[in-house]
Amino acid sequence: MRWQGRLERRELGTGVWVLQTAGRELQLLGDLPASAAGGWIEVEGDLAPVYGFGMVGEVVDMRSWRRVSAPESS
Amino acid sequence: MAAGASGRWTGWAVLSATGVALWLWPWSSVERPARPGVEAPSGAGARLVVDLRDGSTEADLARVSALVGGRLDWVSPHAADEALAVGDVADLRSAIARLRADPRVEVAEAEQTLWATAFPNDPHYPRQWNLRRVGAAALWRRTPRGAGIRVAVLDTGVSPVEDLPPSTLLPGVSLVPGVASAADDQGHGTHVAGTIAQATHNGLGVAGMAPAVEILPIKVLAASGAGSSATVAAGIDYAVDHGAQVVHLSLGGPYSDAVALAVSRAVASGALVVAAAGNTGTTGVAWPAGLPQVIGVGAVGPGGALAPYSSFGEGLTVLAPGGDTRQPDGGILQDTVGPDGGHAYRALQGTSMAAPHVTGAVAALLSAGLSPAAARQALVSTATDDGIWSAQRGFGEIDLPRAVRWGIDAPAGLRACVGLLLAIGVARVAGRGARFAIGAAGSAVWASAGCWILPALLPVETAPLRAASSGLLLWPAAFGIPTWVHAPGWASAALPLIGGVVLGGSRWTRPVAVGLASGIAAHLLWAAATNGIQTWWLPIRWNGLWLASQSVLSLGVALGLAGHDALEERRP
Repeated sequence: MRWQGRLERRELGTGVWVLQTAGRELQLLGDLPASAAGGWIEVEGDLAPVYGFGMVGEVVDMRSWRRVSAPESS
Repeated sequence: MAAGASGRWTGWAVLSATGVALWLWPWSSVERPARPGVEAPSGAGARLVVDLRDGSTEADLARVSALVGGRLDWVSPHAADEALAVGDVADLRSAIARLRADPRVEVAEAEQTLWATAFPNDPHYPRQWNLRRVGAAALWRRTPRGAGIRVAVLDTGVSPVEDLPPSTLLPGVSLVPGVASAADDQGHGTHVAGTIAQATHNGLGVAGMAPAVEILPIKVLAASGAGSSATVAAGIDYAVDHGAQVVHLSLGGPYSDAVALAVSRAVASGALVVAAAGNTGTTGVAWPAGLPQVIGVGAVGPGGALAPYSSFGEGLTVLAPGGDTRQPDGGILQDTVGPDGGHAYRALQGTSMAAPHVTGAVAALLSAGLSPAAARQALVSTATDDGIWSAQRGFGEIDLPRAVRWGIDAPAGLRACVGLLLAIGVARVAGRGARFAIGAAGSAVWASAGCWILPALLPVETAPLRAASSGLLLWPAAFGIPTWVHAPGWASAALPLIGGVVLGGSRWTRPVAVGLASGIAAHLLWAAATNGIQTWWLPIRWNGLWLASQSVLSLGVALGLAGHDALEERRP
């Protein structure tokens, strides 16, 4: 599945990646560079019934991602 | 005549009980402040401190500097208004003498080194607003700080760090596929364990809620922070199988029957399960925090308001500090594994950070001899919203000084009164005189509640003082063996019987034996009514019946002892 939204690094625990899509927030599992925070990205992966410390909502086990637009600040 | 005697006895009983209640109750509400920070001058330093007259300028400071042949600076930019300066001079003694004669100078003296010996002496404790907010000092003063209690931390693992010594950690286990070690490869689990058990009053780093607990690390989350319901369920089972009295879960996920069943098994075995409520900032508490058997913990910031990230709704039990990193020093500061693999003092936020405050609190209360039911009830009943549950705040924020009063002090007062009444009643039924009754009553108060006025007078931070301020049945907890309190042979009529054998033979010590039996009868009666003692060999539904029967037996022992030779005593 694919989702598009704004990527946010949220300071919860040691930090979690959150994709803010239209209508819901998804926690992303996978490596992302700090420079991507604040940008619009597209993610490909699967919803996973994962337990974790993030607890911000549904979790996407990310296979790949691509930048759609750069962070606003850049 | 008989009616007169009866009335006299009733008066005695009522008067005594009222006196004890009045004597004991105020102490239960005394909140003795933390031991004062003693700021003691510790000898002269090498620097000169000068307080110039208000309104002095930089030019005045320069002139004074020239006068003493050194360089003086304002102590801080703010100190310029107060004209307070400090600096190095070659000859301190003569400089002070010259300045004291100068009209521009109000004070001239050698700088003193000040230090605080307040408890705890961990240097970063002043930044731990969270521990002060919940009143952790009440636990440190009034409980064995978790001694004898095993807390399983299911997380990313736990590693020893500078301020979490290896002696606090039991050999852990990793249930994460492909990961052999229970060491923390992420930093989250060690931070959580730090809030529970960080070494405290060791002159290093930060403090923790219950520093004497044993942490059982169970790694169920990978370095990514993710795990599965199967791993979490297996971790809960592992925790209980390895003797954990508290199972801590700063994690959550979707509902799982496997996790719910594991939680049920843990609770049925007598463990308390504490879990973070979740970080959605919306309604809907994460699982397993939402399960009714679990203490689900939401988060507040430094001001006490619900943290914006904290989930709420059905299943939320209480709130605790989870931090708000938008505010300066608003995070929860603990020693943990740093990003480079070393250790680091990190200020984090989340309901993951809130939940360990509750886990530490229940561990400390359990170590004071409270049963799991009583420890949970002490926290919930005394939370700030006065027993009123709301979706946003559960029962409110935990308040540990109140929990200590509710869970430790108030029951002791009640037990003392009941013990005293039982002793007087036994003496009355046996036809004993007032002297016998007074001896028995004093012993009953001692056996049921100890000299618990002590905590109001001095810090009861050592085992003998804790024992002296506790009822007899709670002595094992005072010495760090809380499980003994709940052992079937201890929470029984065995002690009164032994006391009867040892002390019942002499007419001089017999009132003490009667008081001992009456006091223990009172303690067991209280425990039966409140599940305040949970004997580990019985299902909880039989617990009250067992304790009540032992209370009756103890009372029978008291009556038997009091009746022994009573006729002889009455004989002229």
